[in-house]
Amino acid sequence: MSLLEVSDVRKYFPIKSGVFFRREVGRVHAVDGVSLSVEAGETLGVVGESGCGKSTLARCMTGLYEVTSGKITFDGDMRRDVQMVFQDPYGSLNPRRRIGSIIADPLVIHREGTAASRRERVKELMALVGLNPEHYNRFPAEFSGGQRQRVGIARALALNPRLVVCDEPVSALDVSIQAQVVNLLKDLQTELGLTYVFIAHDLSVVRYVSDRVAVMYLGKIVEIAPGEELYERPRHPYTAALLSAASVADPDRPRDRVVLRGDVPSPISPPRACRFHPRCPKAQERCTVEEPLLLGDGHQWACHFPVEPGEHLRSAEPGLEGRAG
Amino acid sequence: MSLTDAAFEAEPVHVEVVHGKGPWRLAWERLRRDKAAVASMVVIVLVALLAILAPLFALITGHDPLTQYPSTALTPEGLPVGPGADFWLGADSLGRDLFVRLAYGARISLLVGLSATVLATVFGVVVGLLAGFYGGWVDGVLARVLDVVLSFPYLLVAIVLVAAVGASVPLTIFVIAFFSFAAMARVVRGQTIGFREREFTEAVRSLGASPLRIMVIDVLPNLVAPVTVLASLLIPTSIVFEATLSFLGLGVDPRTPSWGAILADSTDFYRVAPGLLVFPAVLLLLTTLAFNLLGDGIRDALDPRR
Repeated sequence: MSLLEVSDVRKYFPIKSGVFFRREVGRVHAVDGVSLSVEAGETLGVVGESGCGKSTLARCMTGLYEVTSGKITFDGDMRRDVQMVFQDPYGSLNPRRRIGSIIADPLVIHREGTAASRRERVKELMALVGLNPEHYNRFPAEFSGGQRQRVGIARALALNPRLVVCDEPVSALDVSIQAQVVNLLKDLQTELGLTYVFIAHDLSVVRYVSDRVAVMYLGKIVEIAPGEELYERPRHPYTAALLSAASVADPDRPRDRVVLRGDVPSPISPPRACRFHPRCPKAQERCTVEEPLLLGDGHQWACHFPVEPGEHLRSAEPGLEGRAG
Repeated sequence: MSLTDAAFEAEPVHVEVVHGKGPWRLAWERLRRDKAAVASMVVIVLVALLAILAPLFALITGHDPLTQYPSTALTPEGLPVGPGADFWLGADSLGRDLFVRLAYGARISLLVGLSATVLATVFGVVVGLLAGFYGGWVDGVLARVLDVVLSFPYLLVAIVLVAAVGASVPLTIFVIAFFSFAAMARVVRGQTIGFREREFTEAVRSLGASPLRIMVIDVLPNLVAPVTVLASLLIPTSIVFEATLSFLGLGVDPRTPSWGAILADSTDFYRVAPGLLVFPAVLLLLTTLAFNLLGDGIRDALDPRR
């Protein structure tokens, strides 16, 4: 059995209006039918543009959000064994509390040990993530962004969790600090046998840490594959476009850029059938009527007309121009 | 045994305690450099001394605040004497010692100002926290209640209450607190809504922390700054509120020396005895100004980014 099983999970946020009797006037389809599994010991990367539902998916996985429908099964006690590292190193630490007590929060809430043993554990954790244990009495404001993120990691590790969901853990940090934090996460994984769900919009960071990568678009997973496979042989046109837009270390390397036209459609009323069809260079009639399923073994994609290996997608107008709306 | 345990038995950690300067310590240091705030604190301490030492002044002058001294306090024409060695700030129209009455009035002003503020703050924080944290229908109901309170004509309510139960200090405190807590509750509610969505509350919520723990341990410490500022500004408002009610005869028992009541007494006599009007007015002005300036200073000290 997988460590974490997500089956057909949907999370809609109601949009309400009115003062006295708040009517629901619409729904944001943040996560709309996601199924995936996380195996013990692996790192599953999740990439996608802002607003595609990655963070909502992360919060469903940690139990912060109740799912609208679908099921999340975890092999263990979710509150205890699933922990989260947050994106914002400034917003995720309470500015009015000392970091020692912040790191001890999981222990206090789960009634672990005595005050003295908790203090020892906090110091252990601080050393583990590369912080000076002497600083446990300081306030978050006295730390840099990278150090604060280490505090967040220490807090996530306090209860010896089995799964750590990292929601854009480095995207708010300076590039020079990102590598340090990413390497810390990798080292901790080896040392403690952790499983990660690693959410990011930075493709190169995800490639570096992940064993498998899932690509999200408008609340759905469009492609999921082992890391190298996905980066070398993307099958979904959206993945191909995303990869071609990423910056590369060698600017002289020839490449085809697939420029997507238009904006991401509103998740309040997402397009019918394949959600990518209004922007897809390969879209045909079928894409507007029949929703493609996520199929395949190992390398899965949800597309009727996948990109063939070696095929060059043209940055042409969408294949269904004029008929999209 | 987990890997963590093994790693740490091999490598014991030696720790020395390093105390960072807390936000309160830093705020206090900034407040001490604020000249207006320091001057305000001096004025407040002096007014407090006046209130505390009121019985001593009564002893020294030999004048009780409620007793009339017609033989010494009034001229043969029946007018109050001016300031002098016997009556330091003069006498009032009934022959009572103005200074002693003002000193006792300071007790009422500070008692009512502080008690009403504490009451309004406690009540406002509780209501604001609940409304902001729970949202939904709890917020809907409480927010409507606040709207109703804020749209009440407070003088009318005071008149009705005084007519019904009679003027008294506790009633005055209650009336002031009732009409002040809504402002506090609104501020706290807004702030709480902001903090409820922050990642650090999500972090503890994902651990299964109870709503009470999140409100008290995670949200409340972040509200101390805005609540302190608002409370420090509620004190002068309450003092003026009390003076207003007493001036109109709706506050404390009319015989009790209160700055508002003393001012009310002076209205017929300020032409012949201007001190009757000037001294309580200046005292009231200085006290409320000092509390207001101190409140501003506290706000600046707590939020150096402004």
